[in-house]
Amino acid sequence: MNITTQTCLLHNGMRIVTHAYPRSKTVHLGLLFNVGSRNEQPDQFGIAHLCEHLMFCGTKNIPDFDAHMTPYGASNNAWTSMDATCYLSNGPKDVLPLLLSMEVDRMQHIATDLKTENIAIEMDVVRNEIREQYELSPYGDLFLQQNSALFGANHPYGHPIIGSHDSLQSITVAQIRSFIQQWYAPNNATLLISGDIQPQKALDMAQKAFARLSSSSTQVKNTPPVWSAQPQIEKLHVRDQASYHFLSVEWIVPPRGNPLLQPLALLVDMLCAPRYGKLYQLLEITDKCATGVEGSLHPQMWSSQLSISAIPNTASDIQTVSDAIFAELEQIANGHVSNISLQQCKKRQKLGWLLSLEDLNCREELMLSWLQNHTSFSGFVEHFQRAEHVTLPDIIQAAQWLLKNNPLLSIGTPLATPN
Amino acid sequence: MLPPIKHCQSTNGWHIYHCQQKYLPIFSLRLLFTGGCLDAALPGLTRLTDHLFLRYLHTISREKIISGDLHISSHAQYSILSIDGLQEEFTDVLSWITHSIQNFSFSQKDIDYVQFLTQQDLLHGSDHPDVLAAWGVEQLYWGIDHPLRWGARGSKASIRQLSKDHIQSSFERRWRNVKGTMIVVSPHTTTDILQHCQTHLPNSTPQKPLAVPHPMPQFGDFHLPKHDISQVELRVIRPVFGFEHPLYWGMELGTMALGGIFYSRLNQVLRKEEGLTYGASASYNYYRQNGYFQLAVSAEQQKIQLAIEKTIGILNDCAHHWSEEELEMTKKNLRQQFIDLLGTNSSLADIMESCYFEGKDPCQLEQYLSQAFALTQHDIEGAMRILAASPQILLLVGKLPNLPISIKQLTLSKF
Repeated sequence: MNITTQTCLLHNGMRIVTHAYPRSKTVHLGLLFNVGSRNEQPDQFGIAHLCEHLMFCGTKNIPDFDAHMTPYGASNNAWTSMDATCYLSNGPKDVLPLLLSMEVDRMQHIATDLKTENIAIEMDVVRNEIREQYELSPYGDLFLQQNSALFGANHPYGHPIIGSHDSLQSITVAQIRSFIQQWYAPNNATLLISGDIQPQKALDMAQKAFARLSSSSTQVKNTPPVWSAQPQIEKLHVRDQASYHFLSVEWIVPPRGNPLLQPLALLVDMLCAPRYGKLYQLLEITDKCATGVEGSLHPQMWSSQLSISAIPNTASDIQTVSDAIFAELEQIANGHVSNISLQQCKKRQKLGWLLSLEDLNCREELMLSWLQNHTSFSGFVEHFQRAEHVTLPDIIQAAQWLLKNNPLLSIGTPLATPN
Repeated sequence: MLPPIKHCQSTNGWHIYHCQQKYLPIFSLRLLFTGGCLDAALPGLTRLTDHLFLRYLHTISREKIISGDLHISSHAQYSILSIDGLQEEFTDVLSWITHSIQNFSFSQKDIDYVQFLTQQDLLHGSDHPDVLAAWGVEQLYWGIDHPLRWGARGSKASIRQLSKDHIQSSFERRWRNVKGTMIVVSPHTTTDILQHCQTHLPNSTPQKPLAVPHPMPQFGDFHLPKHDISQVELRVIRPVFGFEHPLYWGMELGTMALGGIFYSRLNQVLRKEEGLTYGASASYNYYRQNGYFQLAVSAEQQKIQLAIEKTIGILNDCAHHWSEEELEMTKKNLRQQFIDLLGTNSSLADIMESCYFEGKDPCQLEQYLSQAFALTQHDIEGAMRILAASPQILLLVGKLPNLPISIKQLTLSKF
């Protein structure tokens, strides 16, 4: 599987990458800014995500961003993480010039053209998002507190990306304009153009469009905090209006790019994959004490997160589930793990990789994730195929690493359950 | 747009719809087993039986090297087994499914546990206002005595009544006396698929599914209290028509323009202009001869009255102001959605499945989709006139302020 790309670096610091995938019959733009919630000042939590919303509010040239592209069959989306903010747009292949011009326009003008009434409306929308995504869901509060419990309130990762009602309401218009001007500069941006394109032509078009933007020298340098695997607290317990219990075990693991992450990813699969995951089989099928067994690994720039969670059937099953997680890790750490098990995980990873490449949306996300700490795609395919070379000793070592380092235990119990 | 989709029938009775895609060594398989919750002896029986069977499948595959997640979904007329996997394991997957069907067994302990899980699901669902809203819509649209009023999940009472005999009978009828259709997207040739089906799958006898009885909607304004949340879920339902109606595509496109894309009338007003909601959407849900249109909005309690007024206003106005520009914009967005849907094996298999479910020939999929692009303003206005004139069900889930409408209370015990 070849992933061929072409890259150029503009004089203003912006990096542009093109990747042809003619099978998709569409064109995709992914514009990545090296700014996320980790860059927020303590009195401005949620500003990165709020600015993501505001980038769609239009400029004097393009008063309605969606109305400008939708008639051509194009659509857009965006996300904000702790490390980055990304703007995605796609459409029929002939809309590339339009999409490029729209991105240039909003990078140039959004900070000055933003209207206060639009800011007020989007503030309401984001606050609705907090209510819908967290307050309406059982244990939403627990999820909002987890990062602080894991990393500490003073850590750049130690607050929720979405902010809070209070923090959002305290953000001023001046702070928003300043944030956009500071971070939405070409020397802080990478553009990926993919899909049914002629790569060189697309590269030339993008170069011409973005070359006129000026770089910004006002960005605060991103200094990583001293890395530690130790969570701030060891247990977080939230009671909520819910009918079920919840348990998750979260570790701080090394940052993106660290060689331990590959075996950790396979280990999570070995434990939690539906059907053959050891914890899935034990908790859901054999012991019947939990449902919803899930595991995940989130690579991030400064610290990654590994999580194993489940819904214990009863209050007394919380301890059983927690014990089972550590017991299975002990088993693996002591070498009780079979090659068949490892082969299952590798096959599943291979399938996941193929499915990601097939869908341009997923392929684009993988490539954008890579671009967050690489300047070229050299080694991209090999990195994802490296799972093939993970050995049983690597898995054993990964389990030993997890057992050596304390996790955060997050527990949710219904208000109706006795304390 | 599409590579050819071929139909054949195996010597062991399976209707097969196959699209060859050689780009990657992966397959997407959908096995449709005729017989669903519509003809179940009790509400919830189909899903509980399928859940038991899925757990059995998960148990016995433990030692096999099989990639890909397997799902079973229980519907009114079918149960559908779906799996996406590596090409090299295709025949192993078919053999595994056949072996499981032939050897499936369960104990009273297994039944007790799955009944417990099902009851837990019902309990957990009521924690989520959007789930409660969906249940309320089912109850109100289908009517109190309709077999689909509980969806596939059943009620607490009906789940308690399910016995080993019920489950055994349901499994025999739907999974062992197979009335199956295979939909597959894979790099194999159709000849190979046919051969694999004949070698590895059980015998099947084709049978059409039961027709869905007409709904008996309860119209009016309803409230399902949920006092521990700060948002209110609003649902507005209007019965329209099913997919056999000549204005079916008019309704699909109208729904998209009203609330199916980000730049829709609903989002423009409720989110962009008023900031009332993070997400508002519209959908069209249908069977052969009946269907309903739904608007869904989540808004802050203090602003729910304004959200209701704006939403109803958009709906009452929906038969008017359709320009060529809006129609063309919607068609272009639909075209992009189709391109996306047809771009992966899995989503292509899903759309072939939908086509089959609607009684259409999946081999004519491209022709069928192209009907959407031939629509005129007249078609969309015709569909929207029916929508605008239809009586409605309005459902609010949450804690309400005083509202100037007469509301009937629904209670959770009904679920």
